[in-house]
Order: sequence, then C-alpha cells, then structure tokens
Amino acid sequence: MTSANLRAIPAGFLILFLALNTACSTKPKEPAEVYTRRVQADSLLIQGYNQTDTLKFDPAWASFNQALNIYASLDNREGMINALLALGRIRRLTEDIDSAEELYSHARSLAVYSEDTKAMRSVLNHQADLALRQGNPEKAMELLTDRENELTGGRERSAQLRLRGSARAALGFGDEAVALLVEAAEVALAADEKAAAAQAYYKLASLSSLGARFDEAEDWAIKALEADKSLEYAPGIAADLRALAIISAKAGKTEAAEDYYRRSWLAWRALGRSDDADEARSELEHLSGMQVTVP
Amino acid sequence: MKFSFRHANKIVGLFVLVAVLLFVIITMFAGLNNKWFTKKIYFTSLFTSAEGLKVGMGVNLRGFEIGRVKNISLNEDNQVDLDFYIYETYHNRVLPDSVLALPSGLLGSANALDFYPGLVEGEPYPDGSFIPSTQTVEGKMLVKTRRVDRPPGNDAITTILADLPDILDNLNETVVSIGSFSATLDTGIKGDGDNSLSSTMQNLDRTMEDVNDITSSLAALAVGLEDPTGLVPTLLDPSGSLDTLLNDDNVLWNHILAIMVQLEGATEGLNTLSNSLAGVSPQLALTLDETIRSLQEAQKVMEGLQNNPLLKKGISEETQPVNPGADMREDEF
Repeated sequence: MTSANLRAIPAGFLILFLALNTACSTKPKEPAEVYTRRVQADSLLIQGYNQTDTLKFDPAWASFNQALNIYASLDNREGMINALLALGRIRRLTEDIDSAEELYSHARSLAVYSEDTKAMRSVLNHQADLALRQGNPEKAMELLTDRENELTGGRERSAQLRLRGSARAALGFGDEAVALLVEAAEVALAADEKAAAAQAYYKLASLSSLGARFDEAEDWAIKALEADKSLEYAPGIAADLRALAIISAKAGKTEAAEDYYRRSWLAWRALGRSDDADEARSELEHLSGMQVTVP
Repeated sequence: MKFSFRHANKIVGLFVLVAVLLFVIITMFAGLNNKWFTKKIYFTSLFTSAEGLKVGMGVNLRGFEIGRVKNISLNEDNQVDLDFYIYETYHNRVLPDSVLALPSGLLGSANALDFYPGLVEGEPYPDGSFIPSTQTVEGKMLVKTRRVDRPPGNDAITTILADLPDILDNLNETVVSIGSFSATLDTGIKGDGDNSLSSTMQNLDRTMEDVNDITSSLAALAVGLEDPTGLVPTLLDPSGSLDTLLNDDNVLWNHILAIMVQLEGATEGLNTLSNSLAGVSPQLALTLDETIRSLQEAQKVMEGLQNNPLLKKGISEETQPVNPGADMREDEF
C-alpha cells in the first residue's frame, strides 16, 4: 500500500464522519413550553380564520389579537405576520381601511426585517387586494410586480398570479387576466393547494359571467365547487353555489338557478351567515314566485 | 511454567479477595440506595380498594421517594389496610392532617402513592399513627378544605376536575359580593349621573356581565367534564382518542379557547377597573382583586386543560394554520 493510499484512509473516515454527522443532525426541537404556547397561538389563529369565515368579526379580532400577543412573546415572526394580516383583513371587511393599511404596513415591516420571502409575498398580496378593492388596480399591479419572481410556486405565488389577473381584468386586459388566472389555478394544483385553486376558478367564473360567457362561467364555478367540496370548505361551497345560481339565472336556466339558490341558502344558514342566507332565500322566492320554507 | 505453579495460590487468593470485596461494596451500595440501613417510621392508612396499590411501591412527596408500602391487606370491613413506612430523614414531614393519595394516572396505574403533608405546624405523627387516604371521607375533607400541601398535579384533567368547582364557587361568591356592595352605594354613583365615578360603575356593570358569562361558561364546561359520557371518560378510555373527541369540528377545543379569550379580556378589564377604583373605594377594589385572582386561577385551569398532553396530542403538529389570503369570495357575477 502506498503512502498516498494510507493518507486517503483518515480522509475517508473524516468524510464518512461528516456525512454521518450531517445525516444524523436534526433541527433542534423547540422546548415543550414554547411548543405549547405556539400550538395555542396556532389554534387561536385557526379559530380566528373560522370566525372570520362566519363573519364573527369581534370574536375573530380577539382570537387574532391573542394569537399575536403569544407569537410576539415567542418572537415568532411568521406567526406575528399572519396574525397582523388577519387583523388587517378584519379591518378591511369592516371597512376601516386606514386601520387595515396600518396593520398590513406593520406586517410588511416585520417581513422585511425577517427576510422571509413567503411572508413578504403574503403581505404584498394582501396590500394588493386592498388596493384592488379601493378601485386602484395600478397600485395593485405595482405591489404584485414588486419582488415579482421571488416565488415560483405554492399558495402565495398562486395568490399573486390570481390577484394580477384581477388587476389586469380591472385595467381592461381580459385575455391576459384569464391566462394569469388559469396559471394561478395550475400553480395551486401543482402545489396541492386546492383552496387557492378554488379561489382562482371562482375568479375565472366571475370574469366569464361578467363577459356573458355563461357556459364557460358555469364550468369554472363547478370546478371551484369541486375543489371546495374536496376540502369540505363550507364558506367556499356556499359561495360557489351562489355563483352558480347567479350564472344559471343569467343564462336563463331557471330550474338550475332555483336549485343552486336553495342549496346556497341552506349552506349559508348552516354557517350562521344570516344576511347571505336571507339574500339567497329572497332570490329564490323571486325566481320561483312563491314563499320558501325551511325543509 | 514453573512461575505459574509457584504463584498460582496467590493469584487465586487475590481473585477471591477482589470478588469478595466487590460483593461487599456492591451490597453496601445496594443497601444504601435502597435505604436498608435507614431507620423507618411505620404508619397505617385505609383505602377503599387495592386496585393500583402494590407492596413495595414508593411513597412520594413532590416527586421524592420518602417511603414505601410495606403491606396491603383486606380488613374485616372489606376495606383495604395499608401499612407503609417513611424514612426517618423525612419523618418531620408527617405532620397532623397529612394525607396519602393514589394518583389516577391517565396512562395507567400510578407507580407511587403521593404524600400530602398537613399544613398544621406541630410535632410529626409518631410511629404507628393512622394517615387517612384521599379515598376516605376524612382525607377528602382535608384536601377539599385545603389543609394539606398539595402541589399542582401532574395529571391536568384530575387537577382541573378537582379545582374547577372551587374556582366557580369563588367566582360566584365574589360576583355576588360585588353586586351587593355596589347596590349599597349611593344612588349618585350608581351610574345615573354623568361624573367619572358613575361611568366607572357603568363599566363595572358591564364587566360583571362578562364575569357572569364566563362563570356560566365554566359551569357548563365543568358539567361537561363531569358528564359520564363526556370528555374525561373519553380520555380515560383506552379505545377512545382525542382525535375522536376533536373530530366534532373542534367544538370543545374552540369552547376552551373562547373561554380563555374571555377570561383574559375580563381579567384585563377588571385590572383596569380595580386600579381606577382603588382611590375611590378601597373595599370595592379589594373585592375586585379577589375576582381577578379567581379569574386568574380559572385561566390557569383552562391552560391546564389546554396543555394536557393528550389534548396536545389531539392537535397534531400538522394542523398548522394556513393563511387563507385576503380573498373572501366577494366577486360580482
């Protein structure tokens, strides 16, 4: 055996040791107390999302606020950003736009500070959504093209594409909007993010319906419904049924419209969203020409 | 070869000596570890059942083994007599009112009895004394009237079940006392006027409503916990799992969290009120402080329930919150 071969033996052992060390080393587990607190905050966040879905804004606010406090005590920036965005969304839904902007802005500062690409995308998406709802698609586009290609896939990328589609549609570029929304759905499905895919399909249904392409709109809405059904996401199912009811009614399919309105009415009722339920019921009564009662 | 024959006896002798020495040393260590040479003070106790009891099981005080069970026997009254001893070192902890408890572990029978020393200062019980167990009326009363030094339990559900009724009682009492005290205040400060004290009283009324809500929520939860078909039996049943429990759209979980949110809100509100009232009426501030303490205790209980390892197991790591985005399906069609 040559001296070169002999020298290779310890080097080989060293490489083996390093490889084993790398393979065996795992991310350090968070301490039990931190774990418990984080799970508590996560649960509050989930609860808040559910409360927001059923439009219980005050309890949702309390849930998110408490989650935020816990995340802050743990210095969990991802959690803090999510809680701030959720709080901002409540303010947006209650039409307190200034507060929503302020909360989104706090979340953005945190995202910049933590250098979290996904969180940053999420913040920019929320800010773009707000701009769109304020009738400012130009500002929305600015936000959506900022850090444009930092993410190539996943839920946030899908949301970015969907919002860009919405913004382009608002600016009058319908074809481009459709292409972006279809891409948003594909990106979502590739990442197994069916909820994001359903949102893209829903938007596509909306655009098609507004363009009087009702058959196409119905197809998209059915796809959204299928995605939401596979997730058992009740607020999505109710919204999809309402969309299908409106599309069917516009397409002159009265019988189908009645059926969809009836189902959406019951779905909203089950969710406790009485305003939406009443609206669906009155549309149903208007279409059928008779009073409807709870089955 | 000559060498080995000449020293064979010495070598064998050395090995035997070393073996004997090792045996003696190991025996001494074993004896010391098992406290064979420690003086023991013997006591008796009474249990209603021998289930979970074993001869030789430890008697622990806050996790430290301070003694062991010597003997278990069925007496003439079909009760279980238990003889145990406490090491002399810990004899001074066997104070009047001390109680012996068999922890009801959720994951099977307990490995040791728990010893709760009495809170009475005095001479320790002498050899041969009777120490009641928590399975006897006397032992239960000693625990219920908080005359023993009982640490927060390892078994969250058991602790919650034990503590919740007391906390509810305290809350009810303090709420009632605030109500009756505020009723005796002059009409000018009852909330009819427009000054700062009247607004404080109005705030107090609102906060009291909150506290009443929480009390009734907790009462409902307590009933749920004690329900023979409810939470605890589900947890105790080895075939039942938290997954099953939480499969009901996390109703209970959300309920617990909602109560916690309410509790935190009410405690904060009361803290503010208590500070602002301290200058106006020390008596009312004091009563409010009691309510705050009760609420904080209730919050601890709820946290205990929430942090129960089995509950935690029910909420797996995988249920990470997914940010649903800003969209609420508000599009036009």
